[in-house]
Parts: sequence; structure tokens; C-alpha cells
Amino acid sequence: MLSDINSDPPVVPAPPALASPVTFDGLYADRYGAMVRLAYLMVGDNAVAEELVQDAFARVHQRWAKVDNPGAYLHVAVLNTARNEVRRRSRRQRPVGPQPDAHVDEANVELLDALRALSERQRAAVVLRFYEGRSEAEIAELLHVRPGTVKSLVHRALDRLREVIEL
Amino acid sequence: VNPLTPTSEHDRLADRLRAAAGEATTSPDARRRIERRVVLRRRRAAGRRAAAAVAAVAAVTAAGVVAVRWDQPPTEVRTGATTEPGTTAAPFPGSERLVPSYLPEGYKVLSASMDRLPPFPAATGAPTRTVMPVYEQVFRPPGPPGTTAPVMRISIGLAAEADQSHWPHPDGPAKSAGPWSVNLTPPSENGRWAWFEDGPRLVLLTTRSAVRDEDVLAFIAAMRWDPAGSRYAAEHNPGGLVETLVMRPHPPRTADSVTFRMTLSSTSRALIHVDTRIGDEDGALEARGGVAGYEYRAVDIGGFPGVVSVSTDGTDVSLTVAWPDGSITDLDSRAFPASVAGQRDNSGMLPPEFMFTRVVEDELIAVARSLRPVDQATWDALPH
Repeated sequence: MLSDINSDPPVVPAPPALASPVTFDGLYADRYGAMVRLAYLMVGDNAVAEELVQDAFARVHQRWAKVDNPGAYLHVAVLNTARNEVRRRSRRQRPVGPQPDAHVDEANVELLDALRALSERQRAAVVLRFYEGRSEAEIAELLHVRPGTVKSLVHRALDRLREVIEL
Repeated sequence: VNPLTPTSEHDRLADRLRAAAGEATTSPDARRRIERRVVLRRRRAAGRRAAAAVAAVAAVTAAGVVAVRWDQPPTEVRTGATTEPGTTAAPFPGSERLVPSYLPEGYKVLSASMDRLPPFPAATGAPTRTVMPVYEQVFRPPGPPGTTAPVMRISIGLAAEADQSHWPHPDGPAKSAGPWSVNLTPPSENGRWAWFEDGPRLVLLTTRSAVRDEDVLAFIAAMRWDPAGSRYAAEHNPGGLVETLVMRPHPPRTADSVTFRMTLSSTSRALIHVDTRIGDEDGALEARGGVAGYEYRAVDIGGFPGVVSVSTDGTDVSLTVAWPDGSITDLDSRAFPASVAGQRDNSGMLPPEFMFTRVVEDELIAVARSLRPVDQATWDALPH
């Protein structure tokens, strides 16, 4: 029987507080870099990640007056656009994967390459869980799946990662 | 084992993810690129709102006068169908999709066209701006040529681009459908009038871009014909901008032409004044004073007691004041205070106090739903 993870101590620092800066400028200053890093893990390409995040910011700006929590909205927007990008490229037989620049460490290339082997949902689950330290319930809500599905996604993702890298 | 239960393996993976993410870099011009995306999104949204408004009006009028289906997003309008001034609008691919789904019996489509506004005449001194898609559809009524029944013309421009400073269509009147034409497309400031004869009612619609290029503002008013007052009175008037639309026939200039004077006014401000000549050979509109290019400006004259018409030829502003006692005073910018004349500029922008009510699709739909078919008797009762 799997236990509820919500009471578990976080394995990584908690995700950024959801309280949003009160201005768009503030949101940009506060979250842009973090969102690029999140998107980078998802798509494995720095330039694509920036494109996605900039588009997400533009979307937030458009809905600024209607959104209660722009920071949370931004996070979802980045995550969803990144997932869409992964799916889109997957359909085109051009899976998004690491496009390492010269500055990327070899170990990181290996990790990004391993992430590329995951499905879009598995990749998102791993990033949300182990990079952002989100709970099962949060991940389920973000991915629009049941909590049990989150467990399954993470489990299979870890199995897959173990096949290609040493965890 | 719960795969989410923390383990040292998870810790290591988290560390590696953070290390990898930490290598992502951000562009120094990211902020500027976001701003550009914001502008593009606003423009697209503006286009969608305008198209939605058109579609809403058209869809609802399907139950009444005429329906116009807008199946083609404005962003996909072919740009090559530029119309030369004085010529009939060129057809464009896909125009067959714009045929009305319903017309009163006997009405036929004379033309359905999409074109792009030609550059505004150089006489304004303004630079050529973005050309705009304008959808026009002209319907011929039952009866032989020469009948007095109206040709209905719908002309709607889409405010899909950033700069519609020079929307007024210099060759609009030249697009007459023929001797029966009632050209109901007087250009308004930065916009188009969409007219639907609706029994005693008249709906005016214009969309325009305002000071900020991302804004699409619209003004719409439904006017009910008041036979006793011989005028249209505002019935649906969001924003309270318009109080009356006076539309009175003037003595005909020729045996077969009649001139209307249409003046939109608020309490102390005149908005638009257009003399419309109907029934001559080309169904042309004519501005009082013969202003070329149909460029009209609203000028806030602040507390002026009369109705004022404002026109400009791009050089000087002419003002016609209709005093309450019926007398007329013509002024021009040389005689008028500089503070007034100075509000006319070549940007096509109205003073801020004339900013129209923001587009509210619900309001558009509400008005459109009030439309009813017009019959000949009703039309005949209108002040031709």
C-alpha cells in the first residue's frame, strides 16, 4: 500500500512561494530565470525554453487583470507550453532533447539526454517532483491526472532513468 | 514502495536536476522580446474581438434582415486584393464563403468583397499607414433598376492592426452599386459605420484603434426613428456618448438627389457632421464643404451651445455651428481659438474625451438581437 506523500518531508527545497509580485515587472524580475530553468529541463534547449517562457509571460500580461495569482498562472503556462512543445516535436519525430551548448557540463548533458527518453508526462512529473519538490497532489493538479497516476508516472520514469544513467 | 517517498536516490536526482537547470541562461533582451510578444498578442486579440463582433451582429441578423458569415479570420485575408481608388473592390479567394445565409425575398447579392484600404491621400500630410481589411457587402433590393427601394450596404472594417489612423476610405463612395445605391457607409473617424436598417431603427457601429495601439475601441448606438421629432433618438447608447442623431433631408441639389444632414451630438460637443447626398449617379457621400478624403474630426469645443460639425482637409479645420435658433455659423481654424484647432492633427486621433466605449461584445450582441426586418413601408417612412 502506497502511503500519502503529502506529509513527507520535502526532498528538495519547496517551490517558490505562490504569492505573486504585485506588478508585471516584479513578476518578471522574480520569476523569469526560474521559469527558464524549468522550461529548460522540460525541453532541453535553452533557446526554446526562453521562447516558451517569453510567450508565457506575454500570456500572463494579457490576463493580468483577470488572474488572481499571476505567479501560479505563469507557472502553469510555462509548464503547459513546455509540455506542448515536447508533444509537438515528438509527433514530428524530432524529440526535444538536450541541445548542449559548449558551456553545458557533461553530466548535465547525460541527464538531459536521459530526460529525453521519458514521455512528456513522465518528464513533467519528474521535474515537478524532484526539481520543484512538489507534492503528489500538486503534481496531479498541474498535470490534470489522478494522484495515483502521478505515482505511476514517477515510478516508470525512475525505472527508465535508471536504465540510462546512474541515479 | 511509494516511488515518491524520499530516498537518497531522489536527493541525488534532485541535485542533478538543479545542476542541469542552473546551466540555463537568460537573454539580456528577454524583457524587450516579451514586450514585443505582448504587443503582437494584443493585436491578434483586437482582431479577434472585431471579428467576433462582426460575426455576432451578422449571426443575429440572420433572423432578420441579412446574415453575413464571417468564416475567414481577418489575419488570413489576402493582401493582394488592393483596390485602386475609384474602382470596384476586387474579389478575393474565399469570398464565396461570405454570401449571406439569409436575405429577404428578392434581395440579391450585388457584390461581396474584401479589400484593403489604399493609402490615405497624401493631402493629409500624413504618412502612409497600414492598410486595413474592409469587408463590404452590397445587397440589391427587389424591383427593377431605378426603384426607390434601398440597396443595403454593409461595410465593416476590422481594427486588427495597430494603426488605423487613416481608416477613412477615400474611395468609399466610388464603390456605388448603381443608381439605386443608398450608400450608407459614411466613414467616421478612424472607423466605419455599419448600418442596418431595422424598421425604425438604425445601428451604428465603428471600431477604431485609440491612442494605445493595442486598444480597439468601439462605439455603437441604436437609434430609433422618432417621426414626431423627425430625428433618430438614441435608444441604445452605451457610454452615453450620443444623444441625438439628427438626420434631416435638405433641399435636393438636383432633381434626383437628396442631401441628408446627419449630426451626432452630445450635450455640449459635436462629434460628426456629414452631409450625405443620396440618389445621384454615384450615390456619393459629400462632406459639407467638399472636404476630400472624408476625414472628419471631432473637436471638443467644451460647452458650446450648438451643434458643431467639424471637418478638415488636412490643412485647416472647418467648423459649422448650428445654433439652437437654427442659424448657422461657419468657422474655420483661422478664426477659431488655437486650442480647438490644435486638436486636429494628422494622427487621426481624437481627443481623449472622445474615446469611445470599449468594445463590449455583449452590447453588440444585445443591439443586434434587437434588429428586426425592415419592410418597404418602413423604409419609405424614413427621411429620404
